[in-house]
Amino acid sequence: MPIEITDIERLAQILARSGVDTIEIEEPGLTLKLVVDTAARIAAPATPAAPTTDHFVTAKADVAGHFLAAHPWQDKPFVAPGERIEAGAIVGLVKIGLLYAPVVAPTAGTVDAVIGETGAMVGYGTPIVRIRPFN
Amino acid sequence: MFDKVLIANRGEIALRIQRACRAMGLKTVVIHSVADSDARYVALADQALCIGPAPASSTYLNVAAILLAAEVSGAQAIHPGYGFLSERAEFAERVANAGLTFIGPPADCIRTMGDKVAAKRAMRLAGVPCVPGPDGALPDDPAEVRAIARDIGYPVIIKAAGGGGGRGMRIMRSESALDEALALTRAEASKAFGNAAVYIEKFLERPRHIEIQVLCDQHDNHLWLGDRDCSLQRRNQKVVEEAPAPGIDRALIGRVGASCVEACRRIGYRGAGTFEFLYEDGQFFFIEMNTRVQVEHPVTEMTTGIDIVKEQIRIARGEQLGIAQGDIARVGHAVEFRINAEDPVNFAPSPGTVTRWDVPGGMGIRVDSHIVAGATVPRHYDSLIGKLIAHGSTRDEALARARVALSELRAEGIRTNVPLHQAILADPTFCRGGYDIHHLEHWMNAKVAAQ
Repeated sequence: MPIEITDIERLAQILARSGVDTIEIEEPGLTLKLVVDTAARIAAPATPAAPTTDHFVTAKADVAGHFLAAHPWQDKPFVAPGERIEAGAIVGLVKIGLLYAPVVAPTAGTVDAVIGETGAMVGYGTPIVRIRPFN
Repeated sequence: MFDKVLIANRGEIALRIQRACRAMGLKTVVIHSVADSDARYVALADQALCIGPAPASSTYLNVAAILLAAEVSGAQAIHPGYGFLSERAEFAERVANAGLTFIGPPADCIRTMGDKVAAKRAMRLAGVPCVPGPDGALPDDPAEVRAIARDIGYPVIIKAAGGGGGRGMRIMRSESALDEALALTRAEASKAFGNAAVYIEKFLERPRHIEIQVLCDQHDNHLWLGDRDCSLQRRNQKVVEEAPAPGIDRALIGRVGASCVEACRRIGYRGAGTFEFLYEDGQFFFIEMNTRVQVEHPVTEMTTGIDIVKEQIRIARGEQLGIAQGDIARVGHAVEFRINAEDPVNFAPSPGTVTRWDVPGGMGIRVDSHIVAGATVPRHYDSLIGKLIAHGSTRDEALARARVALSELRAEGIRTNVPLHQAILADPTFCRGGYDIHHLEHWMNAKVAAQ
C-alpha cells in the first residue's frame, strides 16, 4: 500500500495533537520521515483575560478503559491545576489492554481540576479534567 | 470457565440476561450508550461501561468498542441477546478470536442459516418440511421455469435471492403472465440487489406462523422444547405469541420437532435456536432459523419450566443439558403481549419519561421489563418496553389472567399499546385461536372501516 498525501496529512495532525515531533516509517522501497514543529503548541503567555463567569469546559473520555493521569513511563501527570493548556492538549490517557487512548482538551484554558482518578474505570463521556477557558 | 459475562444488548433482554447470570452466581458487565445511562439494569450490573453516544452504530452495533469493553472489564464471555449483533457471524468469530466465549452457536451455523438458499438446502437434507420449490436459482429458459411452476402448483411466488423484507417478490396465480413476471423480477433484482438470481416457491395464502424452540449442548444432546404460535403480526412484527399452538395435531408437531432436532445434529448446532415455519392446511413449511434467543422465549419457559437463557449460558460453559427429550413437560398455556411505547392507534413511537409504572402481578403473571417510574424510553431504539406473559392451566385461563393484568398495568408519561392488547383480547377470532398471519391487519382495517 503506497502512502497517500492524505495519510501524511492525517499523520501530521496526529503528531501535532500528540506533541510528538518526529516519526519515521520504513517500508520496502519507501521511507517517510515527518518532522512537526510542536513548539508552537506551547501556549504563549497571552494576556490573562480574567474569567467573568464560572464557565467550565470538561475534557471527557471518549472510550471505556482505565484512566491514567500520567504516561506510564513518567511520574509527572500530563496536567496539573493552574496549568495553561491549548485546545487539543493531552490531559490524560485511557488504558484499554495494551492500547492507550489520549483524552484531549476540547478548548484552550486553565486547568481547574483533574477529576479523573488514576486507575479508575472510565467510560465514554466520563469527565476527566475541568478547564476554565480563556476569555 | 468463564465467570464474568458481558451483556452486549439493552432494554428488557439486557435485564433478562443479567437476572440469569446473577442467579447462576456469575458477574455481569453491562455496556451501554449515553441514552441508556440511567437504566435500571445498568445500576444493577457489577460493572457498567458507557461505550458511546446514543446511536446504535456507535454502541450496540460497534464490535470494536464492545470487544475493548470486554478487555477492560475482564469479561470472558459475551451474550449478544437478540437483534443488534446476535446474528452476525463475523461478530461471533471476532469474539472467539479475541479468546472470549460467544454465548450462541458457532459462526458457521449463523452463516449457513443467514443464507436463505443454503438454509433451505440444509433443512431439506435433514428432512425438515420446506416450502415446495427448488432450493436453487431458476434456470434462464422460460419453458423450464413454466414446468417447475406447474410442478409446484399455483399460486407461486417469485423471489429475488438477494432480496428480503417483502422486497423483490411477485405472486403469480396462473401461467399466463409468468414469463413477463419472471423477466421483470429478474430485472428488478439485478437493479436493486445487484443479483439477478431469482427462485420460486409455493405461495401460501393464509398461513399461520408456528415455530419450534431448540436447545443443543456441546455433548451431542439436542432437544426441542415445544412450539409457539406467533401469527398475530403487524407488518411482519409479532404482537402476541403463545405456547402451545392451538388446534394443531400434537403428533404432527412432534414429528416436525424431531426433524428440527435432526437438522441441529447435522449442522452441529449449539445453544438456543428457533425454527420458523408457515403452517397451512395441516402442513408445515420451513421458512428460516433464528440462531439466537427470541423475544417470545418466555412462553416456552412458562409451559416447560426450563430457563432458556440460563441453559444458553450453561451450554456455552460446556455443561451438559440435564434433561432428556422425554422429560420435557408441557404444562398449561402461556401467552405473551409485547408492550411497546407507541400510539395504540397509529403506532407512532412514543419515547419520553415514564412518570408512572404500575406492574401487574398475581398467579400466572410474569412481567419482563426494564422500566421503572422515572425511566426514559430513548427515541433511538425500538419501542419494546416490556412483555406481559400470562400462564394458565388452559388457554382461556391464561387469557382471563391477561385481561386482569392488562387492566392493572399503568404507564404514564408515554403512550403504550396496552389498549390495542385489550381490544385484541375482546376479539372473538383471537379468543378462539388458530387465526392466520393476516388476521390482525384485516381486523384493524375492519375496525377503521366500521368507524
